[in-house]
Order: sequence, then structure tokens, then C-alpha cells
Amino acid sequence: MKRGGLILKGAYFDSVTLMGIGRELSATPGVLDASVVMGTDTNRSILKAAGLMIPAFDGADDMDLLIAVKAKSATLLDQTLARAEAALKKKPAPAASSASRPVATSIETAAQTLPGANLALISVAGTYAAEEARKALETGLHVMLFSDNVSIESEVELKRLAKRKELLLMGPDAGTAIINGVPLAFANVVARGPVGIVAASGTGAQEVSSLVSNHGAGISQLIGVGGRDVKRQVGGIMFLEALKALIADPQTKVIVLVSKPPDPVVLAKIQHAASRTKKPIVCLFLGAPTREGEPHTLEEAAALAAALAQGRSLDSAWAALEQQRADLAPMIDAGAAALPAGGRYVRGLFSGGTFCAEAQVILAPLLGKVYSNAPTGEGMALKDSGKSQGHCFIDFGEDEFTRGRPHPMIDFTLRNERIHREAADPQTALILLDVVLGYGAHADPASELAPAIRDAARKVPVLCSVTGTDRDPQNWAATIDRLRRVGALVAPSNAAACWLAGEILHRRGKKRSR
Amino acid sequence: MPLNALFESDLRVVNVGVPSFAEALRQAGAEAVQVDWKPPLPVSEESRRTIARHRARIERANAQALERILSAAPRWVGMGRALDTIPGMHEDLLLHAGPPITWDRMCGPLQGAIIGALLYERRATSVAAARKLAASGKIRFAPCHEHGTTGPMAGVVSPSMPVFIVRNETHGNRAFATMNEGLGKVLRYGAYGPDVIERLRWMERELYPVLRAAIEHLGGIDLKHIMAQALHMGDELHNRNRAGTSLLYRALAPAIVRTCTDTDAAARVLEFINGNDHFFLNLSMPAGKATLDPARGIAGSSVCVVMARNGTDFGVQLAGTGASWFTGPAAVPDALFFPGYTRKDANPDIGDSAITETYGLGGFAIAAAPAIVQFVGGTAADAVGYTQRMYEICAGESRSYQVPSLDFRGTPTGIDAVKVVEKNILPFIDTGVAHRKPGVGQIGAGVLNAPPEPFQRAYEGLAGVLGGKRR
Amino acid sequence: MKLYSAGDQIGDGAYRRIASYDHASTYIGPSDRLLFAVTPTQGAGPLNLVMDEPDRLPDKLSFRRPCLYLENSPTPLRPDQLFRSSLPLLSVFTPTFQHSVAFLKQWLLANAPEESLAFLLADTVASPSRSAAQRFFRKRAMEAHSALREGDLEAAAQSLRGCGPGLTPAGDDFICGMLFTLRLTAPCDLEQSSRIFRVARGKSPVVNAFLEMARDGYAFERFHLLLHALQGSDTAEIEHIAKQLSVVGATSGVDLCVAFVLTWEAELKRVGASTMDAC
Repeated sequence: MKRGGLILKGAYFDSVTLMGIGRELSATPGVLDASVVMGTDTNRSILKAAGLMIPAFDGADDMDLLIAVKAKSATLLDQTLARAEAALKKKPAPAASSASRPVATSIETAAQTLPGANLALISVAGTYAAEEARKALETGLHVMLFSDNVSIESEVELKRLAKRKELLLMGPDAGTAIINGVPLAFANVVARGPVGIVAASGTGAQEVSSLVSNHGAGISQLIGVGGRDVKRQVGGIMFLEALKALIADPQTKVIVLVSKPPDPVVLAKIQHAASRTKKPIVCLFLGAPTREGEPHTLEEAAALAAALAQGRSLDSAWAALEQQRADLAPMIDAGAAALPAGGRYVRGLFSGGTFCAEAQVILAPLLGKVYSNAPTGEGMALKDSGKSQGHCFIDFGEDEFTRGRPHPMIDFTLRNERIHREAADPQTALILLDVVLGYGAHADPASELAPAIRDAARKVPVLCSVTGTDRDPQNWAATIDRLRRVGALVAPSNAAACWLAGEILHRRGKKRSR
Repeated sequence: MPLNALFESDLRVVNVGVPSFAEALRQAGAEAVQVDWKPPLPVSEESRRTIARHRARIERANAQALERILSAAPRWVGMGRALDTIPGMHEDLLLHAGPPITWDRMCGPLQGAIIGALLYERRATSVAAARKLAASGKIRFAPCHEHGTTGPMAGVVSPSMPVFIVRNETHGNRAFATMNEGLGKVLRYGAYGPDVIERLRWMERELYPVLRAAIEHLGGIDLKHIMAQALHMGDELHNRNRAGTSLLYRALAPAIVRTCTDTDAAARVLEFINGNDHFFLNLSMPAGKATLDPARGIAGSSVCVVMARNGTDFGVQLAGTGASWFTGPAAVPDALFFPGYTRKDANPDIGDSAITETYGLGGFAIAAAPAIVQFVGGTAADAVGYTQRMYEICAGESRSYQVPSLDFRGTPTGIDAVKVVEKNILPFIDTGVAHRKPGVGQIGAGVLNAPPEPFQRAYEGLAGVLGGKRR
Repeated sequence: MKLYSAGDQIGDGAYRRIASYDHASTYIGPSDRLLFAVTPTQGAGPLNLVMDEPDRLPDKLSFRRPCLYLENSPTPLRPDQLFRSSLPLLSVFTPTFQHSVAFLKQWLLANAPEESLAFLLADTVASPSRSAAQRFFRKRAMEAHSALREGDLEAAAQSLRGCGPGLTPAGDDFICGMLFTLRLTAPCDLEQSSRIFRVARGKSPVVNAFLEMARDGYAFERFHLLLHALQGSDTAEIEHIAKQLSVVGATSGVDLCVAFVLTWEAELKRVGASTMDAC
């Protein structure tokens, strides 16, 4: 006599099937006893009492299906169990809709199964990404190459190939694009409209597109070409192609260019291309010296572009920005009142690289020496990314923080831990944060940050800005509301938050000097 | 599509990588298809670059190889004795399935078949003597494939054995295979008992002359035509040959009746064929060999002309790498085992029958053979999925062999080793399973993926040839 | 797709399919709430979405009153498509009801399948089963039955929880029947129902969903119809609905009816036959 059984984990079967199988098993000649039950404590104790228990059933759960059989011989036992399993595994006919659409295992075949496919979004590990991008280009697809860790040689090679084929290659390390109103990877749900954006900066593009949309204007296309495109080696190949395409695009009436300062040779090419259109172009080369009337922050670029799109004068845009500053006065008071006695330094903890750079550009002239793990302009290199010194701005999107982890817009662990740490540091005067919404970002960043902000806000002012729109899945207004309720001071933009930080510290200086 | 044309179109996205991006795209109203992407099989960076550099050339060569394969017209034209018929055959030579192997590395069934062949050839009178002779070095062993021949399972061919002669009418080349012995205790599964030897002798004494007379009377039988029909009748011509055997029987029977004066002998021959659903396998295999051999020697081609196993190693040869074998360990198939046997009893994959997959039948045509999907452990839809996956790694599609359930699409044909490596999709083979011990016979039938190593090595080998010529 | 009704206890939120049968699909939603998409032959229920071809629904759907969203496209629900599952307040200790329950009991004894718990209704000892497992299930059920007769419903639930065959074990179906009955016989004693629920609750989201509905008196349509029939004296009607109930699950419908009869009898004993309304 042999005893045995099967356990089907987390299995759902309808009771009629189970009963039928139980009956069939019991009726099998040579089967002495059989039971088909869910693995509840009670049922297991019954199986034990009935001599049908086997060790495999010990860890079973209420949702596990147990098939216990006692048979005359081992062979018979095995056969019976095999039959029971086969009967249970008989799959229902698949729904008609999903019947025979083949699963594509390559870009080429996927392009065949989706007639009219025109863009490949590639986010496989960097080692393989260049090869996949090449295949996509050979197949005639535009490419958004989200993956990072692609060599600059591969980038140049791919971009030359793309240009030859009149295709767009965004990236590598391109986080953001909006093509024909469709957000790709990390992007916000913005209104459609006449403003076209070419960006060599992911979060910068998110900020500008969101602010333009929140101003009541809209975006025609947002093309992110990857941060390295404007370097000398790449030569701005795709930046220039994208600019030319927007110049030719009838839907685009105003063009915004967002980037860190390009290589001089590339800059000259951009200026040359820009000179060949009558469409107004707003250039923001973050950190480059600006002349009167030129924007020097993402916020200003967005305000000017929105004004141009809406047929308002640039003066009105500048005036509105002035007014916004005046309206922020209560926040300066609140922040100054909350300043801790001994704290002296601003500690900026960013998930967006462009925001970290913008903070340095804005605050270096106001505060003097600033440090960063991603220094820009007058910013100085931080000795140890894990330890703040002076006025300090950390980009959590840099390699040292992202190795083996999701992007800081998705995984808040490290930043939250750092918020606690900075709040506890007696040298900290205030904490500056960015919060990015939209597709690709965390589904509820406010809840992720809330405990850390609540803790920190008891000790120091916490200033933050939220990049996004009310049509984003996370909802801009709701996120701001949530952050305010846990004690954060929420500014209308990253630039405004930085400016506020400067003003608050300045106020303390005044207070002291009195 | 230039960039400005993209702005005028609906966005249709192929997503490779993070699946949530495709979800988000669909939510935003764009069409998106997710690629079931896998990283490629690891190969050296240098080889990868070489292959990338020669891509256009490889593709041209593959197109040429494919055309030779597709244009082949295999025809059974006659029969002969191995010694007189197979090029390079001699008294002391035994052919076997798969890549080259020495006696000491041979698996149980192959050793058993060698012993049986020596007994059959009367080179030894006892099993012990046969073993001693086999190990002595006096008997030479060579792969069937190196002599225009294919052998199922152990695939042992000895000088006295009668063989089918298949000629490729398009290219004039010939290929050979022994006659199928049936199921149960048979030489190809390593059995060497007296009944096995006696059956082989009967096949030589009676089956061979009757079939030879019939085929000569008929002037040949068009195998391509029979195989195309058999696919429409539920065969995939590797693990199921019932329709092929039936069609052959219909073609042969009148000729046998006309040419064989001994009615008892005619009846025995017809009964033998009728009693063995796999009789046609030994024709679909040399048909494949005759089809693929003309593709050999096309410089730069990454198309496989051989996939074969000897029960120890799995070997691959490419059109563009000459006589080199690229090997890796053969795996044990996932199988439905006959009652009383388990995976523990199974021998690793063995036989030249993977030639059927190599020219687009067998596992590559499994969508045509719903009756054997129980070996696949799945539904008819799964079988369709397996065939569809194989299109990803093939140079093209057959013009003659079609799958009814895929709207008569041609079967995936011409396995491209470069695609196998780059897409990390391994050829799908359905096969019989031999017992580990010689003489037990078949213990199950099942499916398996080819092992990756032969394809990685073949990729490196092709890169070596291409890189070398450049220097 | 034709939508017949949606249960009033389906929670708003996004659901994903966790199981699919020939004529039904089970979905799980926010805080493990369940939704059952079923065909009209299964009938309406507090968590049921009754429709044609429920097995062809997408793997994800969401429900936000008054709309069901399939692939983001809303299907609005008319007010008449909402199935109200809350049990009414009824006088169940009437001579008519007593006669009807007695009829139902006889019908169950005569017609219930052998594997069901209907043997508990018989005064004689059940015929011994060949299966040891079956004998132990029955022993458990008989223990529960005597506890029930003693008026100790919690002990009965303790014996029966997670006991017996079926995706929702037969014992749990029985407990659901007890809870529904208590809702009728002691509509104000919610404490007892809660205690029984806590005793019976397990790790299966399906079982827990049914128990929770039963505790709160949200019943499926056929149970409503049964009560309606039992209030009258038309035995043909009772038989008709009893037949419909006995095709729910494998023995789930029958086991629930058995529990109803036995709990009703126990409750009658508790409150005393003297309180029987005279009408």
C-alpha cells in the first residue's frame, strides 16, 4: 500500500471540477482512499487522521490545493496522481482576442506584428542597448534610447546612422520625450499646443513642459536627445536634427532649447540653424552667461515660451515672474522663522540632475561657495557624496547612487535616509528638494517622502517644488497639498524654491546683523 | 520615415525593455507592442564586432544558401549496399550519428548499436568479442554526415547494410540512409540481441531486393511531394511519419505486387511497412541531407547545414565554415515517458534525425502536427507558438512545406546561427528518447531545445573565418 | 458584452483577474476585495457582476460607480442593474415558515448529493463511507451539528472552518448559511455574528469574502428567492428554487441550505416555540 500526494500552490479551481476529480479518483480500481481538498488547517488535520498526510502538505495554506491518494501499489499511485494533475491542468480555451497573436522576440518581428510601427523605445541594459538601437534604425524606426551606459563611440555611430536614414535617435540616457502628445518614459501629461522643445536634459525638459502647460499653453513636441549630444564628440547631431524638424513643423510656433552649455563648436552650429527661421526661439543653456531679456532658469524659459505662444508680450511674462516673487514673501517669513539657531548651510537633495545643476547656478552667486557631487558652473566637487560639506547639492541620479537600484524618482530609500541625516546635522539651515511626477515616476511620491519631510520639518525648513501637472497620474495639486500638510514649504518651481532658499538665508543674515 | 512625417502619424511604438513603459503608452492612447527580449548568448566581443562588420555579407551568403535549400528536389531513386554505394565506405568502417566520437566516449545505446553491427557483419561471434574489437582501434568510426548519410538514433551503418539512395534532382547530389527497423528492440536504440540481428538479416535478404525492384520499376518517387502532403495530413516528419508512410505505401504497393513474384515475400514487405509508422523517417532524413548539402561551402553563410547528436555531444556545421564541427553536451529531452520509465532512465539526445529541423520540418513544423503535441506537454496553440518562434532564427520560409494552421505559411527554414546567438532562441527539436542502457530501446518521446554551446562556438568559428580572410 | 447586474457590495477600485473558470472569473481589488464575474445561470450576488461571457473579460478592469471600466472605456450601470443584496427583516418564526422549512428539509434529504452535508438532516446515522477522509469530514460535521443543537454556534464554526472539499470548503459554506440565518433570527445580535466570523476567517480571500458578506447579511439572489418562497406555502415554488440553489458550486448551495435549516431549528429552540407568531 502506498501513500502520496500533490500540492498545487495558490490554485483556483471551481468546486465542480474539484468534486469531479475527487469522485473519479475514489472510483479508480486499486485506489483505497483519495481526497481533493484545499489545504486549510482543518483539512490537513483530517488528512492526518485519515492516514492521507504526507510531509509535503505540512506547509500548505488555505489557497493550496491538496490531492491525497492511498493506492495499492506505487505505480498505481503515480498514475493516479499524474491523471489528477493532468485533469486539473487542462487549460480552458484562450479568449478569442488573444488567440494567435505571436509574441515578438525581436524588434524586427515586433515591427511586423504592429503595422505602421514608427518608434522603438529601448530600455534594456546598456551593454545590449546599442545593438538593439542599431536594429531598430535598420528596421526604419525612430529610436528613444532610454538605457544608459552606452559608450560615446556607439552613440556617435548610432547618431550618424540615424541621420543618414533621416531618423531620430533620442538618447542614450534620454529620460524624457513627448511625441505627438504621447509621453515616452519619464514624461508629464501636458496640454498640446504650439511650443516645441529640444532638450539635452531630462528633468529640465519635464520642468519646462509642465510649467508651459500649467501656464495654459501647450507642447507640440518634446525631443530629448540625451545629455552628451551637445558635447564636442557627438557634435550636436540630433540636437540640430530635432531643431530643424521643429523649424519645419507647422504645429510648432515657438521653440525652446534646453541644455547645459554646449561645446562652442556645437553652439555655433545651433546658432546658425536657429538664425534660419522666423519662429521665436527661447534658449536656456543652464549656467551659461545670459544677457538682458534672456532666461536664466527653467522657470523663466517656460514663462517666456508660454507668453510667446499665447501672443502676450515678453514684458508681461517678466512682470508676472516679479509678481510671483512678491507673492512668495509669506513663505520667506515662514522659512526664516523656522530656521534653526545653529544651522548655516543649504542642503539640496535632488532626484533630477538638471534641478541640482539649476540650484548651483542660482545659489552660487547668492551664497558663495557651493559643493556638489555633480558640480556645474561655479559649483565645486564634493569630496564624498555620502557626506555634505558647506552649501551642498546632491544629485541622486548619479552613478554612485543608482548602481543596482532603480532611479531616485522611483526608489526614495536613499534620499529619505539622507533627509533624516541632513535634518539631524546641526550645520543644516534648510533642506531643498525636488519632486517629479508623471509617467515613469513613483505612483505616489508624496507618501514616500511624507515621513522623512515630517521629521525634518520639525527641525529645519524644508523647501520643495513639484514638477508636474494636474493631469499626471499622481496629480500636481494633490501632491503639493499633501507635502504642505506634512510641513513642507512648496514653491511653484525649482528655480523659485532655490531663490526662496537664498532669500530665507539672507533674511537670517539680516536678523543677525541687527 | 523622416522626422516631420512622424509628427503627422499616429505614434506606434515597439517597446524593448521595461514593460511598464508599454503600459503607460497604451494608457496615453498610443499603440505599443512589447518585445519579449532576452540578452544574446554570450560570445567574445571580438567575434561580435567581426560579425557586425560583415553583416551585409553574411546576409547575402545566407540568401544564397537559402535559395539552394529551397530549390532542392529530393527524390528516392534507388537502393544499394552501403559498401558499394556510400562514398568512402570500407570494410572496417562503421558510421554513426552525430559529430565524431571515440569508442570510450560513446553512450550506451551507441556502443550497443556498434556491438550489434559487428555481430551482424559476423566480425565477432560474441558480445565480449565485439566490444574488444570495437575498442581495439581496428574498426574505424566516422559520422554519417561526413559520408552523405544520416542515421536515426545511434545511426550505425555497417558495410553490408542496404541503404536508400536519395538524389537531389536540382543539384545532382545524393544522400543515404538505412531502412527503418520499426519500434521496440532495434539496433538504432542499441539493442543487439539475436532477434535484432535476425531482423537486420531479413531486411537485407528480403526487404531490400523487393524494395529495390519496386523503386527501379517506378523510376523513383518524388519525396518533396510526399512530404508536402504529409504536412497537410498531420505529420511533422520527425516524430510523426504516419501520413508520410501511408503515402509512400500507396505509391509502392502496386509496384511491389508487379515486381515481386513471391507473393508471400510481397505480403511480408508490405506488412512490415504498414506495421511501422516511422518507416518514412528514413526517407525524410536523407531527403533533408540531400536538400542541405548543396548549401555547404558558401563562404560567409551562417546557415546550419547539420544539427546532429551522438548521445554525448550535440554538433552543428555551418554552410560557411567548411568541415568544422561545433559541439556541446547533448541534453536529456523533456519527454512523455512510457509506463515504468522516468527521466533518470533517459539517454541524452541522440541521432541525426535533427536534420529534419535543420531543413524546416520536425520541431520547426510542429504546428502542423497537433496529434503529437501531447509530447510537447501543451495545447495545439503551444505548438503553433513553437513554430512561430522558429521563424525568428531562420533565414527564410519554405516554398513547398506548409503549415495549414498558419494559413499555409511555409515552414521556417535555414537556421541562422547568428540569429540563434543574437536572439538567444535555440532551435526546437522533437525527438524520441532512448534508454541509457543499450538494448532497452525507446522509452519515451519528447521535445527539447538544442544546447547553446554549439551555436556559440559556431558563431565564434564563423567570425574566425571572416576575420581571418580580412587579414 | 451584455451586463445584467452588478452587486451592491462591489468596492470601487482597480481589479485584476486571479482565476478564470468556464463560466466565471474571479478578480481581486483594493484591500483584497473580490469581484466575481459570472453568467446569468449563476445569478446575482453582492460581489457578482452578471454578464455574458465573463471569461472573455480583460485581465484588468476597474469599477467606479456608476461605471465599469474595461480597458479604460466606461460601461455605465443603470440604477436597475444594481443588485441590492441586503437581507430583509422577516418574521421567520411563523407556522407557515415552519411548514415550509420542514418541506425544504425533506426535499434536501431526498435530493441532495451524497457528498453534501445533507446527511446531518437525517435522524438516522449516515451510511459508512469507504473513504477514511470522508468519514473524518463527517465526524467533524456531526460534532458541529451537536454543538449547533446545544446552541453553541461558535463551537460549531470552530469545528467546521476550512473543513471538507471544494474551493470554498463545505464547512465554510455551512458557516455562511449559519450567518445568513442568524441575520434573520437574531437581527440585532451582531456580536454573535462577528464572533463566528472571527472564528471562521482563514487565509483564503474567496472564503473570507463570502464569510464577510454573510456576516453583514448580504446574500445572493437565490437565497433571497428561497426566503421569499419559504414565506409562502407553495411547495412547488420552494422546490423550484431549491433546485436552482443546488447547482451553485458543487455542493455549496446545498450545504448552505442545510445550514439554514439546522440553524433555524436551533434558533427556534433557543427563542422557544412559544414565541411563534400566531397568524
